[in-house]
Amino acid sequence: MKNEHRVFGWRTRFAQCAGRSSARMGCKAGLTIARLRALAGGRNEGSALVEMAVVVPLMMVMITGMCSMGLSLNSYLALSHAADVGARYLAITQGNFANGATNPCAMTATQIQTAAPTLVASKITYSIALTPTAAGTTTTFTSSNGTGSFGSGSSCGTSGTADMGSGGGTVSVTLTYPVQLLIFGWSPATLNLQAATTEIIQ
Amino acid sequence: MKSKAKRIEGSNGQSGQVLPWLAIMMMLFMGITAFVVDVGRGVVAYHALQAATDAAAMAGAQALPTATSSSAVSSVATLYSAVAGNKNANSGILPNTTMVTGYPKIWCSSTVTADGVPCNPAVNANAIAVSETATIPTYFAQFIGIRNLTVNAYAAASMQGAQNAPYNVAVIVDTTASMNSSDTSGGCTSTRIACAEGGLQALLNALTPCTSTSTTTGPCTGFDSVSLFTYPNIPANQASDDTQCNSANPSSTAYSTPAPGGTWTPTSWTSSSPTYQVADYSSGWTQNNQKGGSLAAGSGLVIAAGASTTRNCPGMAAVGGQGTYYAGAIYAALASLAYQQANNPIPGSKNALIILSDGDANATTGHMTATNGQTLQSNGTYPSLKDQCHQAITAAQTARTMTDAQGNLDTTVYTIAYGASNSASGSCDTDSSGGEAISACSTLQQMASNSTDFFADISGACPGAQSYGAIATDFTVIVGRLTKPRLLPYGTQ
Repeated sequence: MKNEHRVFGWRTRFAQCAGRSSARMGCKAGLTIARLRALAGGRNEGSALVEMAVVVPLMMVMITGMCSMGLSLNSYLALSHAADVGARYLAITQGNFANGATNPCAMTATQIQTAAPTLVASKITYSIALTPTAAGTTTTFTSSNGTGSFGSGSSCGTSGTADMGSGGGTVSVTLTYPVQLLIFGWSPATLNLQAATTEIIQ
Repeated sequence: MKSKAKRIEGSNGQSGQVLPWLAIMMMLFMGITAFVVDVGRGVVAYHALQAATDAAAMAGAQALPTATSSSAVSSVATLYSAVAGNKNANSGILPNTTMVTGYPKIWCSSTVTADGVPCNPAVNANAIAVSETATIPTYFAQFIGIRNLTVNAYAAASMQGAQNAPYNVAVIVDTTASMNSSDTSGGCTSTRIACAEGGLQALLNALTPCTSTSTTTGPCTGFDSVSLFTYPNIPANQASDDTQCNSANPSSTAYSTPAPGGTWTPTSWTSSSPTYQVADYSSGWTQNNQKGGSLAAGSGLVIAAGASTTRNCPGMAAVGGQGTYYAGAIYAALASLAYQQANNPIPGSKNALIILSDGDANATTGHMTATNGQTLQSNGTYPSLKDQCHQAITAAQTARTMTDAQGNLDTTVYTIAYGASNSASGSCDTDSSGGEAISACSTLQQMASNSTDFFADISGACPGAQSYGAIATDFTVIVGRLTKPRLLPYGTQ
């Protein structure tokens, strides 16, 4: 009975074969564990250790994978929130930026970075599509870091502020953020998280 | 060594327990993985759905004040929702998103009404609610029997009420003799000038006089500021007859002609020069520095609006005597707005010009004296006795190109037609004689920045005018237009 292991009343095959006597009998089943034991001298000493040696890496892969996935989702949540905040900011302020600021896109980028303190600001890529009025044309301003002149979008200031006052236009903020999946020190892939929010300009 | 091994062997009856435990742990791990991956994804999806729902509610709310049908509002709200094919649709993170049955819902919220935002009569609503639901298939949780996660988001928004920016408000009130006649329209039972003053009081009650940092007893740090203009002109040193409790009324003088787009020179209140401005921009018009507080009896604006209870002042008088001509008043008010905006201690302020008039310009020879380097023109170009209504339209429309220091177009002109005629032959005489007849209603309509910025005292008085049945309500609605939609808490009635 001592070699029987019950899992919810189910007598496991592993238990049968992993037992002392069964190992001696060579409980066939190409069971690696049993073979490893045989290699180790056919005795049971350290069998648990050997089993652990196989199982622990597997578990570590799963656990670190889960952690990595969880962290990625957390970054995604932060990014999604930041895109929401950025779009709302641009929509509410109508390009009416005080304090001498002339580039709504860069101002929005600052808001986005403030809203996502857990993300590395310099890694966020910004794309702001601005349709200043309901019947206006859409211009997309992009930046790989959200600082300075907002990349090619230095004209965001003029096209953003001059026509947005009457509202009815559309602003769409799309953010991308690279996250490295790390499984037990191994990086199988880099996820490019992308979050977007579109709002009407108030 | 042997004995040690034996001891282990003899006592370890658990050899080989790791794998069965792994079997158990795998189930546990699958559960945890399901939790991390699927629930994590669900949380991300929920947030994305909430963001989209907020955007939809805000978009619908923006359309509400000027909507003529509820379906128009619903379609704007849906356009910004996460339902497939719309602007916030995201097939990856938010598949199978649908609008909950019965939404978008628009209604006349008692809470929002109590906050001073009247319902748009065309759709009987001032608030909108949006509710969306998304059914997300799971990756791992399906192994433990959970095939889908359902996330639900709700957002409600009021069409107005969020303070967007401080406003510099110039109000031009007609004080020609016609304003002494009684208002028989049913919207107000008093003289027209008294009803107009009632509107001014409603304006002061609805605007925000001081910043939130101002205490109820301390000094007021101005937020919105209001200045009052009247026409015809009065000598500047007699403006106190309107803004202080003197028994006298100011005398009128011939219309002066400020230069279009000219630089504003603050009024010298001791000078006898003609002025359109009777009360300079000021903010502290309530006793407790709060929006909607009791009006301060000592404020010039409050006295001019006839609301100074303690001093029993009658308010400003409709002096008249010079016919009607208001292009000059508009240029003066716009110049003052530009000056006030540039000198407003709070950056980013916006301008609003509210013109209350019957719109029937009819000044004749002797009613106008060209000043400020202008000369009277005979061809209907400002300043001229000809085409006076068209001159006013030209004057008001210059606001459409007025920019602030940042290049923003942020001056809006609202017009309130008060007893205006819709007959091109029965009003704006100087225009019809010039060959281009126009009605007073049409004049005021063209002066307004947008078709939705044109109001009338009673419904049907002027085609295309917004009407809320009373001058005072019109003023309240205009103040509402200076604010923006805002989200409402869940459960707002």
